[in-house]
Amino acid sequence: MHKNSHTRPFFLFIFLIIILALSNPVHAAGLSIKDVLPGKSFTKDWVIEERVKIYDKDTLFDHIDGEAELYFPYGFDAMATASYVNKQNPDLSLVADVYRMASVLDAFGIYSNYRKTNNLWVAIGAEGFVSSSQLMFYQDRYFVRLQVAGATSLEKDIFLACARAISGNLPAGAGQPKELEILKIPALVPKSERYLAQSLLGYVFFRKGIIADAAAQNEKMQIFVIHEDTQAAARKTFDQYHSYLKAEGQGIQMTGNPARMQVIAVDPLYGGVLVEQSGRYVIGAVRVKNTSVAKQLIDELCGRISADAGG
Amino acid sequence: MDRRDFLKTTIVTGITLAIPGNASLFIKALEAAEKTDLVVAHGLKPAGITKAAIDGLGGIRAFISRGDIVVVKPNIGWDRLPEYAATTNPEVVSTVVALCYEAGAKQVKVFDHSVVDPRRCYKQSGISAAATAVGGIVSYIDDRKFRDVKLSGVALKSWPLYTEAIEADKFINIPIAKTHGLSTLTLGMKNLMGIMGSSRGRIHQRIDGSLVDIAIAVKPTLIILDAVRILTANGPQGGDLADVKQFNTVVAGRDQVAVDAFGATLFGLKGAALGYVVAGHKAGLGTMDFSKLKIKKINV
Repeated sequence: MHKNSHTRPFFLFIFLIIILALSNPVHAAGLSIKDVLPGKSFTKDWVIEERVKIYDKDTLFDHIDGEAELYFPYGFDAMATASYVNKQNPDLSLVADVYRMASVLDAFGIYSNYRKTNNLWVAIGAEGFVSSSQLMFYQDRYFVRLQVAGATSLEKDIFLACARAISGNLPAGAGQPKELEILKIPALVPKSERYLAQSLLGYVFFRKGIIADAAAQNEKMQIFVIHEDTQAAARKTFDQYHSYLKAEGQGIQMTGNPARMQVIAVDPLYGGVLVEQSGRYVIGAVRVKNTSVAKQLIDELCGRISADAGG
Repeated sequence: MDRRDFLKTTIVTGITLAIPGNASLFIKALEAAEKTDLVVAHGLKPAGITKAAIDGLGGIRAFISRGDIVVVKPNIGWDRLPEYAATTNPEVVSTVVALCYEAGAKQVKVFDHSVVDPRRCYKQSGISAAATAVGGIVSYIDDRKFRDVKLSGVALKSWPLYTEAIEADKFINIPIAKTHGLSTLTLGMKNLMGIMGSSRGRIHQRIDGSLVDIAIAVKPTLIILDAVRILTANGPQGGDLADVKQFNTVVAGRDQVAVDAFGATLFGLKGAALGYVVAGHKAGLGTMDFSKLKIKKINV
């Protein structure tokens, strides 16, 4: 009896936690992709046509043809799609696609593939943009793409109403991927970051990484960060690039110590480069004309790595 | 002067002397048919440049005979208006259909294996209305009409193909030029996927070899590459007008490899950058070597 009086509140607490989790699908671990799209309508006069369709890795080609290939390196898992037709004009429809990727970084990666620096930004999910014919955003590990069909433009409010309805069905997430933080130096061109899940700069030894535009002291270049699991792995990646430069590049200057190696050279594809291995990271600048400016940016990136304690 | 030029000059001179009345028209057709491998027509009206491109190859009668059953295969893959350059320009399609009838075709059929809802794709692309208006027989793909065809190719040994396409007397391929996530660009050979059944995913696993195998089996009578507008990014479905470039161009030819190799140049690429162009060239399907081609450029 005494024992029961102690354990009952505990079990009651656990029971309440389970009930809360189940009653809120947004936080449930087993959120079904088909439930993220509005079932009937998302706003007045816009109603679902037919039903929500689901595609997986084997069938995504049937929905987006060769564009599917773009999604696979980002750990594409499943997608849900539905068309919402305007009751007043049945030729006008809005197609909503929701893709579930492997992680927040992967969702950002596929989103950043479509993002342009001059887009009109909207406050939805971790980040979103709208154009006359599309709205895209990512939230948690989901990438959402809305497209008007039957017209070349649609009111922004209609896009936003649909986006908000979907966003409300998705896990809230923790905003942008933390991996982007390292690139946030003053020279970074806002919204220019792209995460490539394979072959950064087209080089297979740069397995994956984030690249962005940078501008400082009237110089424009691109900066990148490759995050490896260990310092040894980062060194290996750096050495592979160094070997490639020795074979194909020009004007190679190598400096540094085992923990922090740096190479300055002319890459056959990207012109002037400055690449450094710092702890678990390989960071660099390409299309460099003024090496001293690039050095300054690399130092700033290294500073952010140290501050992040990830080095 | 090489042997080819010598023969042409001799024949043309002979005919000019023999039939002074209609010589100029005859010579014009002969000249075009004898040498030109690719015609690149540029101008503001899609119908005008389409006709000019075909005329540059000797005219539609060089390809279509009286009583032919013709299949015209545009890209109707997406639920997009023509402005998005995701589907073939409807005026280009209707011009070809009308020309085929002028040449005496018995039937001109128009269809494509749409990626998304065909009812919407056919309508929004404008192709259904445009082709129907000039007598084209427009139909949706019927899954019962695919038949396994032995290909004995490098990548594909057999594949279900659309019977109406492979049994037609003449097959005219009318792709639109656009980017493609997997094959870099989708041009003529890639457009042939629209007569293929079964899983797109399986084809994509060995895309270059598969496209060449199909291209060898189908061998279109004529390829007309629509570059009135081209989709420069985020293809094949597009959806953003910012990715579309107005090019006002149509390219026509008989050589699938040559047409695709030339199509690559519209995007600032070389034909050699496309795996299926290289594979087609190596397989002897055609040539990507422009030095071996007579390319005629026309401004309309």
